[in-house]
Amino acid sequence: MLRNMKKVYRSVAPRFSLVVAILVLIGGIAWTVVRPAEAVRFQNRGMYINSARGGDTTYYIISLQYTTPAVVGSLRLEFCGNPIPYLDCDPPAGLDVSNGVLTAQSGETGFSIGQQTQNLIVLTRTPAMTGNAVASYRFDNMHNPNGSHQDFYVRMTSHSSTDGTGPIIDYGSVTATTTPEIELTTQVPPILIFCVAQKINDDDCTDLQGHYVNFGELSPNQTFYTSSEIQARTNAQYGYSIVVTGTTMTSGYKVIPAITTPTESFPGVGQFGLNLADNSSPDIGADPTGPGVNGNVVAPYDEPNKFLFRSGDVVATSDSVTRTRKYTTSYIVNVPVGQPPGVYSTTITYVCTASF
Amino acid sequence: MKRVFQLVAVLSLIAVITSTVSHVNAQSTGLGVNPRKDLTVYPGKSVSDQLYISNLNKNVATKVNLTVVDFKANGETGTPALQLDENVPQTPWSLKPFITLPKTVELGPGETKYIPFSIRIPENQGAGSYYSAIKYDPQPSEGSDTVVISGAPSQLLFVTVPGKATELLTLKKFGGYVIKDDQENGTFKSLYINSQPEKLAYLLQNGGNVAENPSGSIQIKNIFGKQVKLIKNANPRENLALIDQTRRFEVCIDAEVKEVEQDGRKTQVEQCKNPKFWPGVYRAHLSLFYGINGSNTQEINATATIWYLPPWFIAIVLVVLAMLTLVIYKVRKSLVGTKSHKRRR
Repeated sequence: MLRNMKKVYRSVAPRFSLVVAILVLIGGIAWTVVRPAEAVRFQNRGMYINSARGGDTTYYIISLQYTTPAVVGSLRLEFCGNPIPYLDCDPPAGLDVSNGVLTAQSGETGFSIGQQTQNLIVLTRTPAMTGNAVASYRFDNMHNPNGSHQDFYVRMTSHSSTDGTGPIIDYGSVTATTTPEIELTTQVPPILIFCVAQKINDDDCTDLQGHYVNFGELSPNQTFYTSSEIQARTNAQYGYSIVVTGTTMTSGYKVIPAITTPTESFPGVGQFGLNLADNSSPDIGADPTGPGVNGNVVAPYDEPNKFLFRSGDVVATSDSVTRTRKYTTSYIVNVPVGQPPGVYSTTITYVCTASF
Repeated sequence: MKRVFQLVAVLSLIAVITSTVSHVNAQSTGLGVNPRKDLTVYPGKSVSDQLYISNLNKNVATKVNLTVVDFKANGETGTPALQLDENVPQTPWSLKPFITLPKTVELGPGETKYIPFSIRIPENQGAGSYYSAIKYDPQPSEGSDTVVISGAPSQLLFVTVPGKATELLTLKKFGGYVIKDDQENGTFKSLYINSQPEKLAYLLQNGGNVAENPSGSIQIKNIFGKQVKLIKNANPRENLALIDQTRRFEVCIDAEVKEVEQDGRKTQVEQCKNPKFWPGVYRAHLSLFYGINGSNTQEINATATIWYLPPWFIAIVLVVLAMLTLVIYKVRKSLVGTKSHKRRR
């Protein structure tokens, strides 16, 4: 049986291969010649809104450059909440172009409004060949979406038909945003709550204790350490970052040097540094606490028993809405034998800023 | 009598010295502020608005210094790098030349105030973004032998001047992204073996003069071209790419709101979840749009390939290949054996 199969294969295979090759060649030629041209994007497209305030009635100027030299009979403008052609078009609340009026046009002209709904305008004209000039169309009496910072888009397609249907010649979207000239303060605003103290006794930064920490009388025989607390929360979606600023401890021209890379505490060596970790050597500090679990200490300030101080360093961040988070800062200072006597002090400021 | 007077004098002196050395009114205060404002101001126009500030301490009044501070981007993240040094040159996008606001404000215990400020943009000012931060600095008392600590919340203020601006975002990278817990930065990845891909990211370099907030979608298709996931919003937190920044935008393939319990309290946190992909190769198609009012709309399109090959799938493939090899070998051997038998005959 195997012998017979081999005989059949040897006689049929060459002819079969030839037939397949011819069919592939014909198909390829047909696909290349017959397939419809793909639609391309409009160039230099943009949109200007005269008043971008939410809910305003104003005028829009939509500009675009037809890319494909073709006979165009209509330009379809669909106002949606997203620009992607394969997604459903959900117009933003409040947007209404049903009363829009075409008051000016340049470049490719001769258009009038053929169809109009709440979120659709179809411009129509006697089909004519397009040039390469930038075209613009001004529409008066257009009603903006209601919200502030509301993105919306115009999906544009050109057609040879006069009613915005049929094969697409060129396509593209333009983007616009409603923005207030001023922020409304009658609404509950996003808020950033921030406090720093020796001790913070509640979650709302209302019960604070002490605005300085004291090392006492320094000596080269031991490490001196103390702590303070930082607390932050925000309902802003971007989160926050906390930066430490200031200088090392000084007394006039006399300086206790700051630790500039994460280093352990060494008694008898001039050091000033801090971290926001739970340390064992010395036994000071705590890990962050509180329900705002997306607030975290940033390396290298999260490393236990390693201290440093660089003004301008970010010590903690959160990446979104964050509930109350308390951070404990541990400070250490060591002085060498022969450190000039004096009253050493400094001011450390923690700056908390929203992220973007 | 003389001794009584002397005693009274000494006691008075002690009282005076004691009151000088002791730290009086050593209280801190917490502040509540708006974290961010976004305004639009047309060239030649001015806008007046208000800043919200609240003294959270119900027992102590406070005096707060208001300072306009420039900022830049800090790496690929949305953390601002405040230019706090007085000697640092002003940034090209600084709001300092245009903003008017008071230098100090006094707040009573528990008091909230709305502080007026205005921004005026000159007629010939170019379109684009202008931004700075407003630092609210409570004035602490001084101390000796101490580290004086204070907390200064800051507010970001962004102003867009509409018109023809220079807008240029360049896509530097797009693909799967993995970040470790509690870390700020992660790595781009295209091959996943031990875990499902949960996050995508893209890097955009901003070479224009507008702080850009791109928007768009990501479509994920399998090897057969069928859509398996659609990320409707590729920039869900409306993050910004600042001028001169290469910003990383991250998005979950599938997101869930999770309740996390800590210290006896429950918090809602959005987290990426397992998209439950079948093993195979996937293509993610990114479509982004950006452009301010009056400027051209720009578009960015990109595709990334992601392989998901878990160990069990690799094992199955290897077993199947091994079996195929064995079958082919057996067939070939029997064919060769038939030929030899024929020759012998």
